[in-house]
Amino acid sequence: MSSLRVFLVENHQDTVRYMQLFLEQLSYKVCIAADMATALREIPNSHCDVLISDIGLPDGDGWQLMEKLGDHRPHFAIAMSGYGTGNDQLKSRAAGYDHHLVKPFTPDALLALLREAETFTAKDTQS
Amino acid sequence: MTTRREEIFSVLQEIGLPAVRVKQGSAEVIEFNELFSSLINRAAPRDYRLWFVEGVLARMTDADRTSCEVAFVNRTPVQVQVTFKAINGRALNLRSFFSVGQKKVDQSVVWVFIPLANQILERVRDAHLSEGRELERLRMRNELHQGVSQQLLGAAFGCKVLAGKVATLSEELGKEASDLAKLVNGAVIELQNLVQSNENQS
Repeated sequence: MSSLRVFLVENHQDTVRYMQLFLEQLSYKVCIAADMATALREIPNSHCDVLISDIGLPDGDGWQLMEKLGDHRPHFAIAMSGYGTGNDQLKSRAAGYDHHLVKPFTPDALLALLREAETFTAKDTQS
Repeated sequence: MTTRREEIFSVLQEIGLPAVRVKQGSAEVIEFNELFSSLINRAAPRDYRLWFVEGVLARMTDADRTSCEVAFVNRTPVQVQVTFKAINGRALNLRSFFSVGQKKVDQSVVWVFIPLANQILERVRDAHLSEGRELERLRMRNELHQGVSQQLLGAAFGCKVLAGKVATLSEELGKEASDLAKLVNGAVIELQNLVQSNENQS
């Protein structure tokens, strides 16, 4: 059972719906936002451990989101994008994301990263 | 001192377009540029005044000749197609258009011939085709990323959720749902490879 709090920023309705159900089935606590403005407003008070954000958002992009979050950035962040060129991946790294998933990806690929986030968060809490 | 008419023919020569001015009724040639001359005089009679009648009108279809006559009467521009024979014997298609002098005293007609296939036009055509291919590739790339990828991603998570729920109801149904989730996962991986190869090409 996981107690990680995940904040999901994605504007594709079906994707966000099933990702949320999938994560909740695995006992993650999930908050969602469909655009950057909502995410910026809600993340600081959500106390989330992991941010999963699409790079292409209706009112900006996932890289700007990280920059604007500043000190409110979660400990662990995963970018999702339909574009997986080296440049996109570098930009995600530079923006502060720990990983960049290229869409489409399997649920298992996301799960593997969340396991890593759990380990990371556990170590962070101990230290 | 060059006249305005000569300037027009000179400019048309420079940009590679054969041109000729003929009398409106008799179609007798009044003036022409060298490109028209090189186009017509291989098969036409020596008398340049007949070049248009025997070298151009003779190569038109009946329908095009009728269009020309109507345009003459109405004093409106018209386009017809004329096929000449190139030096190498290949057919040389030219789209020609003429405009009729607007003044009543000016009873002449200027014909300009636009090659449908020459090196410049072929390059322009190739550039357009190439641009079209690139636009189509970009359209498909966007379609792949914004459409199919996104829907398949949702489906993959949906199947996984379904498999988890069904498994609590029936072991057999759960296995079938799990197989379905694996099938969708396989499609996701195939599409991932396609997206990757598409990214590498761009």
